[in-house]
This record gives sequence, C-alpha cells and structure tokens, in this order.
Amino acid sequence: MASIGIDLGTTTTLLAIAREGLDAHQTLTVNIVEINQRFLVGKTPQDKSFPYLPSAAYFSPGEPPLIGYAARSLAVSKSGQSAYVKAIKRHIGRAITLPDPINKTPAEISALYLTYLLHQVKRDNLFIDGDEITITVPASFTGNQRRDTLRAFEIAADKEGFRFPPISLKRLLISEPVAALLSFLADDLKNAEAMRRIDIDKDPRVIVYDMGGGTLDLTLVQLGWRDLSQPKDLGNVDFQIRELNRYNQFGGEDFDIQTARFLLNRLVETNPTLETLSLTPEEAENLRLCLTLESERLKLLFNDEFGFDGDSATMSFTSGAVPIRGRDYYIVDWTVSAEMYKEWLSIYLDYRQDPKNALYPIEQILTRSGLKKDDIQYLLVVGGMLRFLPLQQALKDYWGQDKGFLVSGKPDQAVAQGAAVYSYLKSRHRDFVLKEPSADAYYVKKKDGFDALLGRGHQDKGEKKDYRLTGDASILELQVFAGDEIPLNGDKTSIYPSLVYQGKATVHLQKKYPTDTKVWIQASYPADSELKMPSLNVWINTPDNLIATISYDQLQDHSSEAKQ
Amino acid sequence: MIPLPAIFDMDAAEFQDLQGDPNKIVLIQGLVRDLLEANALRQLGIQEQISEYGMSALPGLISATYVLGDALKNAGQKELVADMIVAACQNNPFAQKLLLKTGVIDNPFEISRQIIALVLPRLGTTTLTNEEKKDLLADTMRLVQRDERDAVVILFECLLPQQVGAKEALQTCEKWFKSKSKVEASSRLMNLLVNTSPDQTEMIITKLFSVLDSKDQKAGDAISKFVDLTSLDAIKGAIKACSQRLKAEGRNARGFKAVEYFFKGTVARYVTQSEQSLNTIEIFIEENGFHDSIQRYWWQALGNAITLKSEAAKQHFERYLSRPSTDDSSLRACVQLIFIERDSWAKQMLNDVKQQNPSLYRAALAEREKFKKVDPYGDPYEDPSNPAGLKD
Repeated sequence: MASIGIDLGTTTTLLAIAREGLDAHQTLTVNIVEINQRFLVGKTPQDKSFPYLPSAAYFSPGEPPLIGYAARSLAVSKSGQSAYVKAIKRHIGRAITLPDPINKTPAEISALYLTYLLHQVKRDNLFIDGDEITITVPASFTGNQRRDTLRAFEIAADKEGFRFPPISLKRLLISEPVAALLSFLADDLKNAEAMRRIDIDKDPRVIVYDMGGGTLDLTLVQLGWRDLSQPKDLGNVDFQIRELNRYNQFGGEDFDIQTARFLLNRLVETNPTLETLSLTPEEAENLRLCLTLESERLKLLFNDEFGFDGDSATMSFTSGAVPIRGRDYYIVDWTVSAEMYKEWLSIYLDYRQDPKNALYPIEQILTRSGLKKDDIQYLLVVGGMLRFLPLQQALKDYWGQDKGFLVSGKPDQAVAQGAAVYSYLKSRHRDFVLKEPSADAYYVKKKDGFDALLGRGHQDKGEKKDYRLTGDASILELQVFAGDEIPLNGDKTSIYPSLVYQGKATVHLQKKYPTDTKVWIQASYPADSELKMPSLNVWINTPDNLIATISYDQLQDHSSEAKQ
Repeated sequence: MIPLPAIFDMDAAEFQDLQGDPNKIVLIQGLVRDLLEANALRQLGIQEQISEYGMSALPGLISATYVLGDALKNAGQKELVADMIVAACQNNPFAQKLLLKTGVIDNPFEISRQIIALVLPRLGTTTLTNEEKKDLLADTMRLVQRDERDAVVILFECLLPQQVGAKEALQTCEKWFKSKSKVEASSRLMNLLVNTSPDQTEMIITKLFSVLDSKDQKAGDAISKFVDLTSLDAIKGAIKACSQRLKAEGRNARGFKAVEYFFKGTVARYVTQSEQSLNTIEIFIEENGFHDSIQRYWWQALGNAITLKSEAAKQHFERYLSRPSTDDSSLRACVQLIFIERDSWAKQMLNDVKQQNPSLYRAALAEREKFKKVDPYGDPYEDPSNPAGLKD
C-alpha cells in the first residue's frame, strides 16, 4: 500500500510517497519521488530526474505546453508569441484568464503540473485503487483558493484516468504547516522518548512557520495524545489547530524581486543609456524574468559563500547575459558584500509592522490567539525559503535559540512528506480527522456598518440574524465581506479595516415587499465540505419562509442570482 | 510602453482584481481609517506612509472606499482619498483598468463609485485596445440592464471620447429620461453626449426632449444643473431643438419644464461665461420664428444671468427698460426682474421702472400673477428598479 503526498508549491511541486513496513509505526518510510524531466541544454535535449518539478509552464501557439525544467530552460530565450508562466499559485482562486497563447485560468495551469506528476505516478505504478492521495495548500487559503486547487486536481486526475470516491476528494487537502508538522513528528516519534525534540506529553503549543516561494503561512497547533491507554504513535496524536494567520502573499518570490531591483539599478548605473529606454510589455516581462533568475542565482551563491557568519565577507558577482532589445548586457565583477545584500533585504528581515515582513506575522498570530511568546513551547520553521540562511538566522534571533526553535531537516521537502504521511494516516486510521479552522469571519453589509454572520475558527454555523428591508423592493442585494473577529470589547468598527469584499448576491424576492419587512439570514459551512466556503440562507416575512440559498460561488459572481 | 526602470511595478495580472494580496489591502485600509480619524498634522504623516507603498497601495485604497464608505460621506474626505488614489495610479495603464473594473463595473457601493468618479477624469483617457473597448461597452450595457446609472455614466465618460458607444449612450439616456427616475444621472449623461459631440447637439436634445413629459420639473431641474454647452453652435442647435419640442407639444407647451429649466440654467450660464454671445443669440431667436415661449424662456435665462453677475445681461435689461415702451420684450424683461427682485441690482432697476414707466410695471405685475396659478411641481417619483439592502 502506498500513500501519496503532493506539495503544489508556488515555485516547485514535490511528490512524496509513504510506505509502511511490517511494523507500520516503526518503519513508515517517506521518500521524495524523483521527477523525470526532459529539457534543453543549449540546443541539446537532456533527460534528468530532479527531486521536484519547477512550477513553471511554457506556452507556444499551437503546441502543447512544456512543464517544469523544460519550461524553465526556455524562459530566458523566450521570444515571439511564446509565454512563460511561473508563480501561478499566487493567482489561484481569482476569476482571471491569462491572455493568449496561455488562455488558461490559474486552476487550469496548476492542473498541468499535477497532470505531469500523476502521469509519472501512473507510469511507475505507484498508486492502486484504494490508496490515498493528499495535496497541500496554505492553511490560510480562502474558500476560492481551495476550490480551485481541488478543481486543478480533478482536471489532472481525469486526464490521467484516476478515479476517486467523493469522500477522498473531500479529504484531499491539508494545510501545509500541518503537513510539515506531521512530517516532523513522524520522524521525531521514531526516536527514543528521551531523544524526541517535541514533548507531546506536555500538551505543547507549536507555531509552524512555513515560508515557501509565494506564501508565508503560520499555524498554531496544540498537541496531545488522543488516548493515553494507546501506544504513543503518530496515529494517536491529537492535533488541535488553534489559530491561523490570514492569507499572506509573501515568500521567496518577493526576496528575488527585491534583489532583482538592485540588479536592475546596477545594470542601469553601468549602462546609463538604459535609463530612458521604454520597453514593450513583452520585453519588460523578459527582462523581469531574466533578472529574477539572476537574483535566484545570487541567493544560492550567497548561501554557499557566506552562510550564517560571513557578514564582513564580500564576493564578486558576474551575471549571465541580460538580453535587452537584441543586445546582451552584463553585470561584471560587481563586489557584493554580505552586509550590502542583507541591507537590500532588510525590509523583509528586520522587524517592521508589515505583513510582508518575516517577523511581524509571528506577532500577528500571537495577537490573534491572545497568547504571548512564552505561552508557545516550539517554533517549527519549514518551507523552501528556510534554506535561505539569513532568514533562518533572523527568525532564530527573533525567537531565541533556547526557546524551542526547531528547523525541519529538509525544510523544502517537509510539506510533501507530511502530505504523504497524512495519506497514510487516512488509509490506516479511517477516523483520523484534522479539522481545520477558517481564517476569516464573515459579515454582511447593512445600511450603516457591518454585521457578523459567521465567526472565525471552528464555528460551522452562525446565528440566524434578523434585519429589515431598507426600501420597497422585489430584490434584495447582499454584500458579503470577510475579516477579523469582533473583539470581546464589542468594538465593531475596529474590524472594518480588516474586511475584504467577497462579492454581492442578488436575491429575487418573488414579489414586492414593503420597507421594514423582516429578513433573516444565516451563514454556515456545508456539512460535508472542508473547503471553508460558507453559504447563506435567506428567509423573508416569516422565519420559516426560506426564499434563497446562496453558495459562496455565487457570491463571487457579481451578477449572480440566488438558487431557489 | 513601460520605462525600463519601472519594470517591477504592478503588472496586468496583479491589477486584474482586488484579490491579489489581501494582507496589503488590510494594511492600507488600516492606514486610511487612521487617516480619517487623524488631525491635519498627523494626516500628512499617514499620507506619506501610504505613498511609500506606491502603486501597490492602489487595491487597498479602492477596497478602503468599500469598507469605510460610511465614514467617507463629506466632500473633503472623498477628495482626500481620491487624491491618494490618483497618486497611487502613477500613470500606470493597468491601474486605470483596475479602477474601471473594481471601482465602477463590479462596485456595488455608491460612495465608493462617487470617489472613483472624482479620480478617473484626473487620470486622463484610459488607453484601451479595440477588444477592451468592445468589452467595456458590453459591461456598460450590462450595467444599463441592472440600472446602475452612476456607474454607466462613468463608463460612458471613458468610452465616448474614444468614439465608442455614442448610439448606445443616446438610447440609454432616452430610456432613463422616459423612466422619470434618477434624473441626475440622466442629465449627466446628456451633458456627456452633447459635449463629446457638440455638432450633434440639436439631434441629441430633440431626441431626449421628445421623451420628456412637459411637467417633469425634476428632470428640468437636473438638466439645468448638470448640462453645460461650450459652443455657440451647440447653443443654437439646442434652442432649435427646444422650439421644435414646444411646437410638438401644442397646448401644453407653455409650462414645459425641461425647456424652461434648460434656459434658466444652461443658457444662463453660457451667456454669463460668453457675454459677447448674448446679442447673437437674441438675434438668432428673433430671426428664426421659434415657438412663442422661447422668447419668455430667453428672458428667464437673462434674468438668471443677472443673478450670476453678468454685466452684459444687466446692460441688456437696461436697454429695454429705459425706453418708454410697454411692448412684449419690455414686458418680459420687467416680469423677469420681478422674479429676481431679491437681487439688489434688480430691485433698484424695478424701482426705476416703477417711477419712470408705471404702466409697464403694472402690466408686469399682472403677468406675474398668471404664473402663480401654474402648478410648479411635476409628477411624483417612483423608482421601481431600486433594490433593497438591510437595516436593523
């Protein structure tokens, strides 16, 4: 029996497989699957396997898209009508279609990466009917983002001929921080009790800090044993997911772009004629891409050369060719000091009150949970960006080395491995459920102000609230917002800046009702769904006269009409 | 074209909707809330803080107009936020498209749309491809179906200068005036139509006035406030159209509100701003055999021009009232002065007439009495299209 986990990341997608030995709890092995890829080196095709698939695609008119390294190898030399796509995860959940020759939604592009992996799974017979599969998403992903990820998987599974029972699809997704924690614990529990890094006997609180290519995700989990009379193994761990931060689009991409800005400045400094040049959107995109790839290279060089302690060190950086309007430009022998490099990234690495900062979100999750640093026993840092040593160092300095600062062994692989572990637990322990809270509370707009319909966290159904119509009408318009929970002191207006518009629903009342007619609204999460997409029931005139049920999908469509 | 140093600015995908970076949106909304609650000195600091986020602040600023709309009711606050939105756009074409989409097309909040309406004219023409123009016109017509009139006017403001949608705008405006509701939006669309095609003024006004009820005072009032003409030819075309409408109306023409208010507002402002045109218009009216009432409305326009401090209008009244005559023109001039006698110049002039030409004054008073019997109000409003919202 095999259990599969997929980390569908912003910059890379990983596939892991968990297999049990004879003694399941002791010999569960989880491996990252090498992905075969064919790409061009110069003009020569080459086949090679990598432990991940770059989440990138290359589109040329009239040709099937190239995926992974094949796409990346063509990115810089891209020309004419072709288009290179990366970091599409940053757009998943949005109602956008990328222009020709791509002509696909973010979900459809994500499906290409999943299809590529599933194709290999099928080819190598890694999966048989009854096996479980899990895909990870940021814990703070909204309903739309989760729905699109599921949609991407359904497209890919359909294409490769995989069939899954509905129950498997409902439990397909798991949040990345929780997956990473599962992976960490799966390893940790193999150790003798005295050697374990997390002491579950003490019911510890753990903040999982997960920074990947595109998202920074924080989750507060309280651990304990489900049944003290049972063996203290992974299947017996009780995961209480207490708190999430809101979706935060901050990750490796931002570090690369920030560095690329300085590379661009350097290029212009040494080639002043470039300063007044104006580029077509395609030329600008190529240049952006080229400089971002150079900054990725600089990041790796920095990690190799300087590590943690090389603040006074310098290195000489020479870029690859940067083609601009038919001519190749270079940054040659630029002396970059560690101090200078860290200064470029200081907006992200030095504490400032901005969600796009590596440290401030830790403070945010503590505030949201009403806890202090000392109430947390462990900070577990995971995700591809944690390979970047200055980030690790900044976190360690902020948290304190001796305060349970834990770094996952292979931070970039932990999420995929944890997903495979979750698949294993789902197949082995059918009652194993990880109930995730919602990151947002939901509100409806009233004539003046907003009213809470559904709380944040683990609430599945809100109160049935009563209102009155503002005018004589046969149509009721509802505007729905998501945001923070109203604080205990009841200051409703304090949540206004946290609200983000979700969409409008038009409810046809079937006849004209006079002003002040009573209306009742109740929001709830559908009982059988883990997507965290609330729906609204609307009653009019009497509390049993249900007039409409509006799903979250309809809210997003601004011209939607309620289902009768 | 994108300046090379600006290649890392926000791009099309990021600016396609407000869903890209919710955390940044929340951050900016918090700063806007602080800004609205701050004193003037602290406001400067917060504005600077927001401007440091450059273009990436734009989605948050737009979203702030959604969630903080209830706190953005006064004109000064709206201007303040509009200023910040203009600054955040930084001439980025994608920013303007984002404003059209999330600030107008998909925006259900009236106050928010009012703010975006302040912003768009300050950003100049939104450069659109032919495909985008087609899509925008389709979106506009979709909003016409949903009767989102403020949004429709803003979108036509973008389309008409690019020679797109004139026919649809005229049809829409006809439909709106016919509905007798939300006349402010109808009048603003009418203003847009005549100003983007001034050579078509006669045709536009003929069409629009043909659907107006003679007693529709609210429409007339809105037209007088929101329609401005910028050329003498347009004024002549409009007067021609008014006369045709009055002739078509037959017996009801006397109290035709739209024409009357058009003269009292639009024509009066034009005469005040281009004083040299006054005589030309008068000769044009005299020579063209227009409907009788046009003369009366013309004098009403001149009377209002006096309240707008037009020297040319004062001289015109003096010329007619200083002669020992009771002819039609002198009588109309005197009646008009009675209507505006709160104005100090008019009061003085009336005193002079009372002493120097008492028979004219008495005749004018008698004429004034006749107008008092006319019902000054049109039909009451009904607005069946308005959807309801929620209240406690």
